[in-house]
Amino acid sequence: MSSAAVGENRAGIGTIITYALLFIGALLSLFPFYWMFVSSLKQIGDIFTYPPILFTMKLSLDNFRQLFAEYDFMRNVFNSGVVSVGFTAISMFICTLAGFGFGKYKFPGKDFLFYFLLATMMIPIETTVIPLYMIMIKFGWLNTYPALMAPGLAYGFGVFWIKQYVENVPDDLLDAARIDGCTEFMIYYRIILPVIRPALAALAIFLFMRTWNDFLWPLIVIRTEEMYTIPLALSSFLGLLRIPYDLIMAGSALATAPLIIVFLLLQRQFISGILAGTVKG
Amino acid sequence: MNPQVATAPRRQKGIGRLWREVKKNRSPYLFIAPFFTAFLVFMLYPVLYSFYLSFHRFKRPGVIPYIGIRNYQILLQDPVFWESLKNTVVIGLGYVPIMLFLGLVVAVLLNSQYLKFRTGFRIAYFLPYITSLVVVSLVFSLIYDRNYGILNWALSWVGLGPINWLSDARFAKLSIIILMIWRWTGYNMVLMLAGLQSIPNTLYEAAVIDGASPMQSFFRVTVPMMRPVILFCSVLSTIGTFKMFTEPYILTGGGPVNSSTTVVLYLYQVGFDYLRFGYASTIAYVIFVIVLVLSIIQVKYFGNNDEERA
Repeated sequence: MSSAAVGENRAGIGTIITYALLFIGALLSLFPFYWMFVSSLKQIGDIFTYPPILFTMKLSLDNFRQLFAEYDFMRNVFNSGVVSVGFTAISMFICTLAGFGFGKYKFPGKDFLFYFLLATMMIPIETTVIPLYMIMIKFGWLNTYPALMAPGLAYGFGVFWIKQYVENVPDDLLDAARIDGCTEFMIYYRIILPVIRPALAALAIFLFMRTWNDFLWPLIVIRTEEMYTIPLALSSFLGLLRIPYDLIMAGSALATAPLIIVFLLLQRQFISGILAGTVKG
Repeated sequence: MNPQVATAPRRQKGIGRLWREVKKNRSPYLFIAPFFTAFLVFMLYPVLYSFYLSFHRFKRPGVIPYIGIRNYQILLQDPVFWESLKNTVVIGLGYVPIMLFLGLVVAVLLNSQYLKFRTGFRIAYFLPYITSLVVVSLVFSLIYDRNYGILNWALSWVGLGPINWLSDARFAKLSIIILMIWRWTGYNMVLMLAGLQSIPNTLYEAAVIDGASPMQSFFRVTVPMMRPVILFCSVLSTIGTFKMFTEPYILTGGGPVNSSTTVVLYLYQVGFDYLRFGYASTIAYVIFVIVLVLSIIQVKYFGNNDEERA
């Protein structure tokens, strides 16, 4: 049957083209990562040569050593870690509590408050930085960890996201716990949190990633080098007379590696957390 | 069922009744209190105060004279603001259509059940999105380097360049556009993949029976069926474009001569380089209104995006 053969043949070519296109795209997508990791292991002279050195065995960890020895990069990593973990923990607590409140209770003003919260999810933080900055001055929080963490707590997205999961928890489960003498807070802690754990993972990843990568707000409220987060420290290298791209790439690699590892380990939660984040925009 | 839910007789009046309601419902109120405290201080107050500031000149704390709509008048005649708005729109128009097209094509290719290495491809395409924008911009500034950058080296193979990507006014915006396409294609691909899975297979089967080629079924079935998702993605990306800051800040600093300044970058410069808080708030409000209008379009036409969630 010649027509079937043609069809098969066409499918074969189609498959090859599909793989070829996807492969080229993936290569372009991954190349900057390769370039970053390789450059982080090169000497500055090997980064700035023409033609560029695509492959080399002349690699060393010197840049990382120098980054930690001369620039106290550990301090920046520590700052980013404290702020991201701290913010994620506090924000998770606040969001799950409020999400439980909205998801499982009826109370006067509930609808109004919830729609209000939804409406403000559209407000871009970029447009409130001036008053937020003035608040930080008033609180005496400039150049502190609280300044980096506090404004992000006001985002309704996490509450919205948790509420949807809490609503699906059967009421019978809560009633049974009440009959057994659980307080409302114990219900939150003992029943709600364990039941919605998959949602928590996704939200935590989303919040952590956002804080870890945050740049505009830290740039505004952080003043001294010892308070710099990783993105601030990296961008501050651009102000030097001779820009140390070798160290910048080493720092970039360090900033990126943890996210890549978490992403590879928790790919599904990661993507669902990020898809959920689109509601916020 | 729920003891908190049972509504009390609604006979009592005024404050007394309100207070009893609050006491009776104290659990949910306590649960939402921490959030709304943060919300009042770090969201509601800033939004209102920003509006107030936009009608004032901020001299120093406590000295903030009212100047009416003066700031808005200045804004209308501020060439740098208009330039930044134009740049933002040009960058948006430059990357959004290409990114959406690439995202859709990759999603369609990845959607095939028989494809191998799907997870691997998905990871490869999605990775740019999880990386910090500062890191992305720094790596790209290395790639864009005029003398040693790998991009100019690659272009020299086809006889182009060398191009002064970051300090030539003709190319500064293009360099940001390329970065945006690179970073956001995978993200949109994931959104579109979710949309593709809701297209019934029978449509494709019918197309095949009618003798449609893969190309034809892409343009006649996939694209029309995906229109809502494509629109959703385009509104989302447009909103994102109006918030763009880090890319121009790191790559070009908005230069040369403001050719790549975006609205948020300009807001930052006015606010924190020149310390003109009143005028910066005016710029903030204009951005705010633009984003608000786009968001309303999004909510109006796409609901709250339930079908997109994995």
